[in-house]
Amino acid sequence: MVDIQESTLPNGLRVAVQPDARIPLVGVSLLFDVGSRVEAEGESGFAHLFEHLMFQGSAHVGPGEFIQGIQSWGGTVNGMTGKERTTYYHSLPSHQFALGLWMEADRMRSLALTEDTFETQRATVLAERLERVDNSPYGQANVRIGEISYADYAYGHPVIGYRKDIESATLASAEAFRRTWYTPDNAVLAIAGDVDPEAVLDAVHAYFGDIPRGPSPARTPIPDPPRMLPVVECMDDPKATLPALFINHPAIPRGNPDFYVYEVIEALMFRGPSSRLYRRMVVDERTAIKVQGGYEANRGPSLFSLFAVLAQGGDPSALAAAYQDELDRLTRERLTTDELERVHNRLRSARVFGRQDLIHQANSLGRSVLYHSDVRWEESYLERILRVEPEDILRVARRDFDPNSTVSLEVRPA
Amino acid sequence: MTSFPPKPPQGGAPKPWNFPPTAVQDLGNGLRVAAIRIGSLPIAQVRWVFGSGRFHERPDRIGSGLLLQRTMRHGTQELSSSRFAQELDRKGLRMGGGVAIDTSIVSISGLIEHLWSAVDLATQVALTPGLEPIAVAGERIKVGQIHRHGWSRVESMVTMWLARGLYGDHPYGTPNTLADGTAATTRDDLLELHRAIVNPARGMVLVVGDVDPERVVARLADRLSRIESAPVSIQGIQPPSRTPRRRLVFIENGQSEQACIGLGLPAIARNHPEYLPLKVANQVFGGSASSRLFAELRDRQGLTYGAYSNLDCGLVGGDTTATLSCSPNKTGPALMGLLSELEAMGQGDLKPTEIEHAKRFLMGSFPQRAAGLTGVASLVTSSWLHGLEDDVWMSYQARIDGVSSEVVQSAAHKWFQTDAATIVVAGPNGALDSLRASVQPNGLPIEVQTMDDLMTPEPR
Repeated sequence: MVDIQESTLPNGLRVAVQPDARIPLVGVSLLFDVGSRVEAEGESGFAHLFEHLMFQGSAHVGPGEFIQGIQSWGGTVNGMTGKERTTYYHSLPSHQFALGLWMEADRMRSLALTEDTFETQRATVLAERLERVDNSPYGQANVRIGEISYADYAYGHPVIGYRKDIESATLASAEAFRRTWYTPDNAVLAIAGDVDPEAVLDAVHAYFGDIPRGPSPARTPIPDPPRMLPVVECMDDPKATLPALFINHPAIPRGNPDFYVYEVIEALMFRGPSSRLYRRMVVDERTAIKVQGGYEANRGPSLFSLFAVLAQGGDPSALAAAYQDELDRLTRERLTTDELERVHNRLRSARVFGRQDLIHQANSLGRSVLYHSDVRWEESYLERILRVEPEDILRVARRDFDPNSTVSLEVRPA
Repeated sequence: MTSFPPKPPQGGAPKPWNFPPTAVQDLGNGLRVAAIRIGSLPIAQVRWVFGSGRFHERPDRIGSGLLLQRTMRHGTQELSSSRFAQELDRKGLRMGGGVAIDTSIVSISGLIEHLWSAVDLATQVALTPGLEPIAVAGERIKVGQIHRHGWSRVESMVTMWLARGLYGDHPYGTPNTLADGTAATTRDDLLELHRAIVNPARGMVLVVGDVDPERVVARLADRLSRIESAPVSIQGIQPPSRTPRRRLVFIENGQSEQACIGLGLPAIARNHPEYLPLKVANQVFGGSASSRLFAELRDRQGLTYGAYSNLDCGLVGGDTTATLSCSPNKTGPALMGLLSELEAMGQGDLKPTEIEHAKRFLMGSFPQRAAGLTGVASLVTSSWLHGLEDDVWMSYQARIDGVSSEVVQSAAHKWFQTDAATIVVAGPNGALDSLRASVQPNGLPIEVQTMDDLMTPEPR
């Protein structure tokens, strides 16, 4: 059993430390239980914009000095915003672990928000949106498939936000956002690496211990998973050179016991060179040049998705029929022992390889606490995957892959 | 409860860490076998490496290297595409590698219990790939589509034109696909290219992972010493001979809502004595998010989402390139900002604290580079390919530490000169308007080109 120390500070900050002495480095992940799902209409993109502001200075760390402080020791540093969480992560040589914690605590307690940095980061986010959405093949389609797949705005709007909302965001909103969500009782701090857990916990108590709790925000309720109606849309994309197809089914949320069945189905269909969809669409029938997708698991409404880039002149309806045929196959054919073994080994191998990276380990540990309130969730993952039986696949596929509840979006190069 | 300390903690003494030693044996057929032990995770990677690559492409078959790389993933002479894929997945193995200009790699990684299956499969892929006609046909279509996609994106337009501007007709200046070359490539062409690249006499097989290096090397030697090598061709890749001229090229892409700016400077081969000072100088310039380009152009001026530079040193030459994307109407100011930073570098205007931070970044990030199988394998194979000292990685941090401010200033002054810069901008016409407004008053003429002009021979 892996040695993991955990603690909850009096102010509600949950902390987990996983020693790993393979190399003298430490990975740190600070997760806030807030993402784009809390944004109301007209406020899209704010959680992500706020993530940028977190690097713009605090009482004792000047603008840009957070990144510089980490990188001047050779560390890696970044942040990422999703629908349900925002994660800040960094790595450092392990003898400098306290520096990263000190800077994280400083910005949690005393983030400096100024008009200047706010405007610069608004411009930066608009440039990011231009790069990732407006000027990216299938970028607009990615936004659209979210809008039509989720019944509610909270999950359906893009994390990066709509341009007009980013342009109208205000500094005052940023301050309110910080007070509401960036509080110790709404965060998980996870540390993995070549450290003494006692020393780390001492530093965490010293730096974070007197940050006051938040106002216990009225949580945005998590809606029930939608039952989607069949929706079929087409759009033109002048950035695309090839047609593409998105197909989404509603899926069970993350906390459901069938989570692991979905993980197996995802690996069976999408992961590895012998996976069913890659084999059929890309190699054997050559109807697509790229197939990706899988289980998009949220605490709230979730999806099982396909994204395929078709071969030149490919027929989207034929590809959709092939996809449905593969889903139907899940409902009628029992998985062979050989296929199940391949899925197990792919998942096992991927899990072990992920442990090479201490930031990956810290992020995974943080998610275990945030979503499962269990520091050992990651450890038990493979064991639970091994318990998935072929009958479970049949049962879940018959229950969930209803061809009448799909949303599909066809993209045509313009 | 103590009050929050206003000063950052100092940290203790760094924990000792050393790059592990490599066990090596050169076989009678010219093949080098090597192994290195890292970490305690039960995983390993085997990697075949050859010091040759796309520079063997025929001029009328540009794109055949990429086609070979992709087709090699479809099985071997013993295992059909389907059986090969199942064999990989049954053991949880993952395959990587590629055919670059002067290097070709086949790698397979997996759990340690499957190491010798990985060795067998990687050996089959490297030496006896299937290259089945149906796989060649399928991949030819995909490479054609990759080509169309690449040639329509401003980022890849800039990359290709920068290479062309820096190296001209030299293989380093050749794009990785041309439509005609890809379409014309046959299975026989791939077999010929494979024979040219894959010669055990200039190859290396490396195992990295939770292994006993001496035992692995002995077993590799036992398995691989009977492989036959072809006579080694004396015709390796030649150094680039041209001196790039200062120029500003604009390529119009009316479909793009963004402009991409690239700046290229001639640099050095990897085994050049100025490599480390130039690496430090590049770190100050744009090597990371704490470097000058990012701090100034993104965080201070908000002109771009990211601005970085990269020092790329090959077997016979190298370059420093910096790239950023921006809104078309900010193209002129963004380029002027980039040139201003370049000029400051060329004047040797580097503060001692910046140099110290850059050195500390390179020293501190080194264990992270060596924390994974692929990182270690890349380092070890790189030292072999470039003929570096045997202890290069064991002494890497100390060598960086020993680089003086003076030699960094001197390298910056020598290799960051605006007069040597090739500048390429791709984007819609609005970007050209912005460039004209900002740049032409500074005396840089703008050459408007198209992608069709890319391979047109240039006047000598």
